[in-house]
Amino acid sequence: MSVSMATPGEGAAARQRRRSARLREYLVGYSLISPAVLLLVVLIVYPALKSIWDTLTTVLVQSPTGLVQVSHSPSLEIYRQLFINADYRLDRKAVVFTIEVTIITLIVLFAICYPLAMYLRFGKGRLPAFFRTLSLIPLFIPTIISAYAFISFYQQGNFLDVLLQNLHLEQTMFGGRYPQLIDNRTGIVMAEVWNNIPITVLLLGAGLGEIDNSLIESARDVGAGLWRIFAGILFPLTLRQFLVAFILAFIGVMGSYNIPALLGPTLPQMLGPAMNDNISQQRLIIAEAEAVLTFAIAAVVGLLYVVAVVRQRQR
Amino acid sequence: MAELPARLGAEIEYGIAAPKGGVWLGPSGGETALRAVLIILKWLTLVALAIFILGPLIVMAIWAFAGQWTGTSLLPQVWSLKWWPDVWGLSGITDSIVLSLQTATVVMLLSTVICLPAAYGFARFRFAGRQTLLLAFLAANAFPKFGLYVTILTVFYEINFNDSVQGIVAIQMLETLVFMIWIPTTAFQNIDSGLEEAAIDAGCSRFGTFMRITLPLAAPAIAVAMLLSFVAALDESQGTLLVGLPDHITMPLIMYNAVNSYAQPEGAVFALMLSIPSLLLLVVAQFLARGRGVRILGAS
Repeated sequence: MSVSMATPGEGAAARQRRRSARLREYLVGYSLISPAVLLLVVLIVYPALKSIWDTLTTVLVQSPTGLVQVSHSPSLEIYRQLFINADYRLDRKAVVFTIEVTIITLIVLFAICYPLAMYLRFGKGRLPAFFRTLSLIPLFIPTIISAYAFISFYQQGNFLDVLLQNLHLEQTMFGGRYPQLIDNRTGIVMAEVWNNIPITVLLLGAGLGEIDNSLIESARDVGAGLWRIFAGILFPLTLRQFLVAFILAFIGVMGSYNIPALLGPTLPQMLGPAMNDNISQQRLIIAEAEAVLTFAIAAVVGLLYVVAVVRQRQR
Repeated sequence: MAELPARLGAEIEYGIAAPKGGVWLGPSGGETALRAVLIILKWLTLVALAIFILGPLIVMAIWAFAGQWTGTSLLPQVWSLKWWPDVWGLSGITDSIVLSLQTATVVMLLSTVICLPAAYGFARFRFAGRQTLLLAFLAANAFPKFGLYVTILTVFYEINFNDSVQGIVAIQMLETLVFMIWIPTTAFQNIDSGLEEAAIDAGCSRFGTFMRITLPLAAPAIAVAMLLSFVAALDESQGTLLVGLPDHITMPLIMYNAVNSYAQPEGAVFALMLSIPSLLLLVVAQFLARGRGVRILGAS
């Protein structure tokens, strides 16, 4: 249904017809997509913009009747307060803790997923196929269920504890005292890594899949070791997929609620649970400010991707 | 940022394509001792990974069938199904199942009605901003989820959508947009437009052509998208928690209580029940997808 190019010597009537055909194409196209676009505006664009505007024009003030929201002309007042006011000490900790957990998760995630993706791509036989399927499983398990499964496996007195006791490994590994793995940072990191394995392995696998075997073989022929092959060939050639996986995992961990709420410590909190608490304590505008902060951090990370891709193209 | 999602789609499809065959990445030459150590290390790593991924799920599944499991035993002392009827004793469970099935069905149908025309528009019409708008539908994944839910909640407070079925439906719709736009768009694009043109030449109206030619050909992919939407809506918990409480409790929200109180083994039984429909539907989706050459996210 594309419109063909004009040929010289064509009549004005034909050109007119073509123009109206294209106009029709535009109109029908827009009207078909408009309900879905409207939904997108109502559910994402408007709420996000509204919260940005709210946080620029509102502050929370202590009054005799409790906390009240006061409007003012646009400024960064609420963010200034969030970063200096003693009332928001825990919220500041939540920001720091969220970034900390996110970074640790990403380091562990890629330390697991790069070797795994390489094994799936270059390994021989049935075992890699088995692990390919295995690595996709978390994709199908809702976080709320995996959180429950993690508790039944890792909590003190639960399966792993019992297993290590039975194998008489607890004494050698932890001096007889099974460590606290749930309700702290470790719990969040483990579950977030678990959750992000499928998409990360899929993306890295896509990148590795495009690399020709002969490239690796010729590098081996001239005596390159595993690390040289990774750092010199595999990583540079999968940089884009790495960046996409990095951003998706980063945004995913930062925007999560279930895992930090169910497997994390009571304090410090991550931003997800912190926002939820602020809402239940009627401090809606603080929750909004924290939501906007997560958007801002995500935008910065997204920008890094754009910069990296542009740099790569210029080379 | 704009090309991120497009690449993503392609890469996910690529990622599930068959591997190209093996290359030995281990040490070359005859250092047998080193080689043996490396092979043992490799096996230990693989076993640890398998335990990391499967361990928690297996233990949870065993708990669902454990009559008695105490002390330092690695398996239950008594196997039993006695907890399965007891699940019905969890408070509010029947209401939650009814509510979950209702909202997931409404979300799936509403999403289909809204998104299918859009998918057809994206696939068959050329208009300014087409590519950008198509990419915009991945925006839900580009936002930190819980932050987005919080901002939506503030809008819902103004229109009294909080603690309501409408609110739950709206927030669950968000989870389905990517599936319902992208999978059908690809399916429509893959249908030879020559078939449609032939039908129009033979005197069929454009709408008639869509109903008789295009829609049946795209049906398997649309079915997959609908199933994925249903499962996504059924499993959605974080947004539903924000807009559903205190009076509208879906099945995943029951699970919050089970986790917090660590109700063992009822919690395990319920968790298993909750994941069975998702797994079943995904098997069906995978089957449909394999038959007609449609690839869907993750299911190869």
